[in-house]
Amino acid sequence: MQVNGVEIVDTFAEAFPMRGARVLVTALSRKWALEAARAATGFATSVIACGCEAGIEEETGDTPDGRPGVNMLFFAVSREELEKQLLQRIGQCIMTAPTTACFNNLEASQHIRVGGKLRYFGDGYQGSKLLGDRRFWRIPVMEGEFLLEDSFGVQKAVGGGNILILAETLEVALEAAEKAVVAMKQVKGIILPFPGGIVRSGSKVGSRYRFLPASTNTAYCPTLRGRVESELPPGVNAVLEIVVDGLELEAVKEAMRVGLLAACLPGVKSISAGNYGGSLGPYHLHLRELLG
Amino acid sequence: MRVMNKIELTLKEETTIPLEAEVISPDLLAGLRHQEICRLPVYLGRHKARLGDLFSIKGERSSQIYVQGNLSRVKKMGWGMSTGRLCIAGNGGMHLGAGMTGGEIVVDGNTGDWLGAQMQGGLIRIRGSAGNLVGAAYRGNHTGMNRGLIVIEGNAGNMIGEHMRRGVIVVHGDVGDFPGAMMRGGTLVLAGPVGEGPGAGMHRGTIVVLGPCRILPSFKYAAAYKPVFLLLLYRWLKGQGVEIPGDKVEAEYRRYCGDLAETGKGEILLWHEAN
Repeated sequence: MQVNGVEIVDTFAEAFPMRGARVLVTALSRKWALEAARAATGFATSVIACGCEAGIEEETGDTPDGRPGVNMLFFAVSREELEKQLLQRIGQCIMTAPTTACFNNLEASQHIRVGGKLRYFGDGYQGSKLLGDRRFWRIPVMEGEFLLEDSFGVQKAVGGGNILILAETLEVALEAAEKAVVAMKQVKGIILPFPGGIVRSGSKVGSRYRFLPASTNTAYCPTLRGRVESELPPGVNAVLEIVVDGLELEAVKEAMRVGLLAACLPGVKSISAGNYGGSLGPYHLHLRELLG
Repeated sequence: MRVMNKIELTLKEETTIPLEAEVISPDLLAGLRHQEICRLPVYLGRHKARLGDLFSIKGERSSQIYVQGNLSRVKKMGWGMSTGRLCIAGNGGMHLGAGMTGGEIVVDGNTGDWLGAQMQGGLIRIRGSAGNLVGAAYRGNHTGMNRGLIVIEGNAGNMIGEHMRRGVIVVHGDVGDFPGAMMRGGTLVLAGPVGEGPGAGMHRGTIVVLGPCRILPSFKYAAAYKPVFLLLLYRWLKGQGVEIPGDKVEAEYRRYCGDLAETGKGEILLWHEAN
């Protein structure tokens, strides 16, 4: 199958179950909402070493306090890990940012307590407010109060959706990946956790070193062609990957579909996807099926 | 077109003798046929009577109850109700919606004392004024209103929200003395002039004052700021059909901590331009 002369490899992305949460941060201005959101979702590219994968989903004006807001999505391998990550990131990155407030923005049957634990920072001077069924904590801070929701919804989610862009040059690969990122970010309910949505250091499971659980994806490293069993066709000199996590499988599929189409530029030789032979994740997202 | 089923009760004759009618509640009436509704017991003074003796009744098996007439002597309507809607075209009596856990009560006129006393959920909306001890605790109890929302578009009497624990009470008009006395939590929003001693003896909770008010000496000034919580509260109230004037939404408030004669964990948030 070809799209705009670009070969779509008959393979699949292997995605796996995660736990996801949507957190809304608001602030006095858009600037400070974004500052807090960027800090909270920083160093959250991969669960391999960051504890969670996170990103900014969208800016929004539809917020409980009427102030500018930013929706963030967080994904972790378990509910417990997600709670730990949210406690740290909201506590260190959002509570510390001037004028912010933080709300749950995901209706779910399961919840984790974040405000209910961070409230102790108030040293006994914190106060709670119940509006309808939602509990909020008011924690006194030096510029006033930090308002934080007690519990955050958690749902089953999907991590590890991906596409690999195989191009003749790095410049072409980067241009195609950037176009794909722009298209994928229009899809609601997903994030692209890597810097700018793009990753150059895709990994494989395991390594020759006992202490290292993941290492560089040698089959897709152009400089190792000739030394390893390469997956790269002739003429490919650069590969970039886009990883996508989503609250729903359909959103991940849609993001991959639009990203794949957007990435089919002249100079791109083929679009592929990363998998582990089907042994790691239960979701096999076949590229050609995505295109119908 | 689907016609909504409802039950209509019209008071046959105005009474000066108190009538205890806790049976006028959606929970009970929703499952009854017309004849069963007419036979429900009420107390006119100390005399037992049937609901059908005092009200003309139309409809059956509905959780939408409409009551008409001057019901200012009819007590305990909506007592402990958990669902449905009770609409009163006229005045309501004492203990209206006391102990209710859900559903909605709407009154076109005024109501008596103990409105929503020890309420645990649901919504009460009064187009007119209410009496004393709105959302309060009955004597001997330590917990008054404990969830839910009461909106009074007119005035309210003394000691509203007394011993209140959770929930929100909004009064658009004047309130009497000692609103929020002995409060344990929850939020009072007082849009009009406030009587003496707001928050006297309060342990926790919030009293938002938008009108003229004299603060007790046992409350201490803390700071002038714009509480984000009030933005949240006002937007939540707007979703419930309660509008707070725009100049009071994104405004500065003076925070007073108290009552320092008790734990001092309560607060009065006084609109900066109110005094």
